[in-house]
Amino acid sequence: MADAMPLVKGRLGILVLRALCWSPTHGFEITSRLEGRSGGSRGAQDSALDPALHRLEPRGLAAAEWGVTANDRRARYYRITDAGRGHLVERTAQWVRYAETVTGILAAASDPA
Amino acid sequence: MRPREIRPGIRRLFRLAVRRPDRTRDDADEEIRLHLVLRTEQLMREGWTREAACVEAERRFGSVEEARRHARASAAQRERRWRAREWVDAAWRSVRLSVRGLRRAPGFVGTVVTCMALGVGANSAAFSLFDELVLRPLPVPAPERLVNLAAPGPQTGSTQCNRIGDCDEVFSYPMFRDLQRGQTVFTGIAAHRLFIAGVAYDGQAVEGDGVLVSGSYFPVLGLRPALGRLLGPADDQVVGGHPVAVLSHAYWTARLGADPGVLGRRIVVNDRPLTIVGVAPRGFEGTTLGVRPAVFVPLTMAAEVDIGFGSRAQFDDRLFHGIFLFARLRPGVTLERARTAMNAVYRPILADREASLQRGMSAATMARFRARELAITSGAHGQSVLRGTTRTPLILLFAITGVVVLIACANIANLLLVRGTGRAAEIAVRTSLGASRRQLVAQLLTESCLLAVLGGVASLLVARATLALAASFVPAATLGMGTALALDLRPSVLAFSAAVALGIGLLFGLFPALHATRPDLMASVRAGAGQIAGGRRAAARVRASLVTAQIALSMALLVAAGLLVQSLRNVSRVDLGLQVDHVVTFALVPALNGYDPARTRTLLERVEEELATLPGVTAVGGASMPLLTGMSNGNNVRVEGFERGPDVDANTRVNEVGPGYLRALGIPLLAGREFTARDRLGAPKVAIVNEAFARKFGLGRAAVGKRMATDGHSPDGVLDIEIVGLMRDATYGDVKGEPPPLFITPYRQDSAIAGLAFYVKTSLPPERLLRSIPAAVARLDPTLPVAMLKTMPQQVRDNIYLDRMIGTLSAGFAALATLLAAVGLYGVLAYTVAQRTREIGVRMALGADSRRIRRMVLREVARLTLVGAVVGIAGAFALGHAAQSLLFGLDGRDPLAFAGAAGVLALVTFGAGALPAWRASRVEPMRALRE
Repeated sequence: MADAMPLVKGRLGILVLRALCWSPTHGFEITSRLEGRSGGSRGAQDSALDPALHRLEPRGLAAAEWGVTANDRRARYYRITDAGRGHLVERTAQWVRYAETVTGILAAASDPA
Repeated sequence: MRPREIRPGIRRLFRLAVRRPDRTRDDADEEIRLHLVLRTEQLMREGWTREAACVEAERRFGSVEEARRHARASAAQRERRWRAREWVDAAWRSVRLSVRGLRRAPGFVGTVVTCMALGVGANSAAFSLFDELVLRPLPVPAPERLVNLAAPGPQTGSTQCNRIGDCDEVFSYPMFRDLQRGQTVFTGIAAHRLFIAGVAYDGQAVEGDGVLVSGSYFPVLGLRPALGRLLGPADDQVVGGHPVAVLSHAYWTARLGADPGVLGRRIVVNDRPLTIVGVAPRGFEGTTLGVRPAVFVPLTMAAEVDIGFGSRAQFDDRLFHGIFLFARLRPGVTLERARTAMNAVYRPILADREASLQRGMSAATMARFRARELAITSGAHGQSVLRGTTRTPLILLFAITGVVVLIACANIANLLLVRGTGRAAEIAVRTSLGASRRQLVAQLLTESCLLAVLGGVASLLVARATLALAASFVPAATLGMGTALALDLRPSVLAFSAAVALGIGLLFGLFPALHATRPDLMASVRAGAGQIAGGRRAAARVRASLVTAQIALSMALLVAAGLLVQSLRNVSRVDLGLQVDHVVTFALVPALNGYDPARTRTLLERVEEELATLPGVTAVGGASMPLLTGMSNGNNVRVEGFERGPDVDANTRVNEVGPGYLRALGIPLLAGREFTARDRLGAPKVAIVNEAFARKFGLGRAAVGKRMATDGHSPDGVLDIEIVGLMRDATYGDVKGEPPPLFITPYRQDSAIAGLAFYVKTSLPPERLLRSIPAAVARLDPTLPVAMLKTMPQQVRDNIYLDRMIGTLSAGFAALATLLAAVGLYGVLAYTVAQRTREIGVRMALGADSRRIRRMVLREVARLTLVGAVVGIAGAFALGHAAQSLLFGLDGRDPLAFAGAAGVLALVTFGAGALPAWRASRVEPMRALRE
């Protein structure tokens, strides 16, 4: 997995929330959405997703209930809550600022002083 | 498809079962399985074979086990959270429901809370006293390892015993050192001694208590200083050579503002400058209950700071017994082993060093002297005379308030029972709507707990007031007399009150709650029956027995209170042999302010003259030993014509007085003359003896003119004192004590006088003297503190404060208990009459007149009272027996107390029954029957 996305623990939660933004869905669909969005690059192992998902629920950022898939399979559907949306917006802004800062530093460092 | 997950509130609303853990596990497994299936399908769509896709899906998923564990853990956590939230919701709802219910019944709440506040409050106050004076050990590490040493048995020489312990418990200083050197079972033996301390810091003087301590005192206790250092073995080397002091935390805080800069500063104790080296830990106030010392000074400084100790020669005198000892057991050493080991050390000291010093002992007494044993007893509570004398009265008081609580409980149970019955319909409705019996009982218990909280809070107010009342009886500590106690509601007392209140709430709420939710009772309510048989009859029985119990307990309390009050009356009527009315007393101890004996004598004479000039003053007398303070001073004497062989008791009390003493206190002179100002140093030594003295030493009425001597001042036996007067017997140390043999001498003939208690008789209101005396003393020396200023009747009351406190409080509690019982009886009768309105109506319709109906109700009262009183009398006999040692001048089976209690009880119960009886007799038959 040389090209693995840096799915650092803690960041995964934001990505999951982002994936839930489009529509409520089940665990595997979240994985595939993230894979699709990241240009096919796979994250850590699939099971890494579960703890992130289960952490969101008690914090009230996501809600879950049992539903049925298109193929008539029973699945646990996760949905982002209003609190989750707020959290996502806040964390995204934070992440972008962080990324800009890091990028700025790295770009500057490559210039000869 | 399984039902969708349900939110807690909704789940509760419909009373749906909480999900079981195995269901939660299945959910987690299912989620993982679906993930794998969908991944496999996706891979197969990408062209993988089924087998390869399966393997790849599992590989990409990672550890299934770990994911499962994770999912289960978080699911379980979710469940727990919901359950907790539901529980809190339910509890909160229950509390809100109770508050709503109670607000609708303010009369009921008020009555229950008042009953509980009075009962629990009284009990908490008594517990507070009991805890302070009996229960609480010394605030030192491992107090249970401390032991007290005592040496009962015959001995000659002088003894100084005080508030630390009685005269069997004092040791001589050389004996202390011998024991210290020889012992192997203790971590150390500590010696201590109280002294009256005039403490001056920065020009500010206060009079209080000080403790002289050996170097081993603080190490044996295992204490750490709050500031600086404590005293240690290094302060215990040279007699007179360690002018240092440790302050008590209370003195340091109250007088020096807890200033940490006091270390190394000078403090003047009884005119002797000492260097402050440290402050004792907070809460530690010496090892003697009732004494709150200001300073701790090395024992080696006794001759310098303690005016009662004497010269430095006392450190070598084996016949001067003036210090108390305690020790700490070495780890692993039992009390029994310590006794054996210490007596092996003690006996040889007696035989080799002390036996030869004993004088006037017969062979038999000498054998007893040699066989004396060192007594070693538990010392967790320190050493205190107060603890010994207050133990029994406080246990009695605590028991009495315990009974008050029981009576209050019976009232509360009755009230809850009646309320429960009245709510039968409400409870039946709730049951129909699906509430389980458990939920209903929980609801009712919540209600009684809520009442308990209210009652508990209110009880603290009652406890405080009661405690303040109790404290008002305790005479203030001054000049080594009185009692210093810090009576307040400590955390232990608060915990006690809370436990009692909640205990009552739960225990006495439980039966009514169970009763109110009885299935048969509810069935009958649902059936719409107007009169219910079984349940109510059971409740009525319970109510009647509760009232009977209350009456029985009240009877016992009334008898106990009657006994104590009568005893108090006897104590108050003791013929003191003194005329205390219009006499004011106070004390001056110039020696504490650095006066030498000659200047002291001059000053005291001038005070006598100054007092005599005050308006209204008819007589002024001084005495070196203040009367009625529990203090006493004794001496062995030789008297002309009195044979003094071995073992003959020649001990008598002694006092040194001024010329106006007999007149000021109204003690009749039976023969001879009073002292005059001419009876001074250099003039022939004179004495006046009392009748008990004359009897004891065989003088009869012919005492005047005989000669006598004291062992202390005339060791060679020359009879150097002439008896010039005979006076009537009068009380000496205690109101309750018989007048002892006593001789008095002029204080002007004492070369070492330290101070006097004055008795000033006035023809004006004595309150005026209380104001003018300090001014008169200040005219002679404004720095001299006036101690113990009070009227003589107050001094008499202070002397019997324990009798007054116990008598008053127990009478108050008994009255309270009887009142509570009367309220309970009234409640039950009123309720019964209301229930029986219909029956009474029928009786009246059939021809019963109102008098007959009244008699019917009062017969019920008589029945309850009679049964209760008989049971109560049995209890009263037991209580009277327990109180016997506290009673003065009467028997624990005193018929008057029993008859009085029965009379009061009958009066109160029939009073409580009168209103319900009257109401019953006014029932209108037609109305009653129509209802």
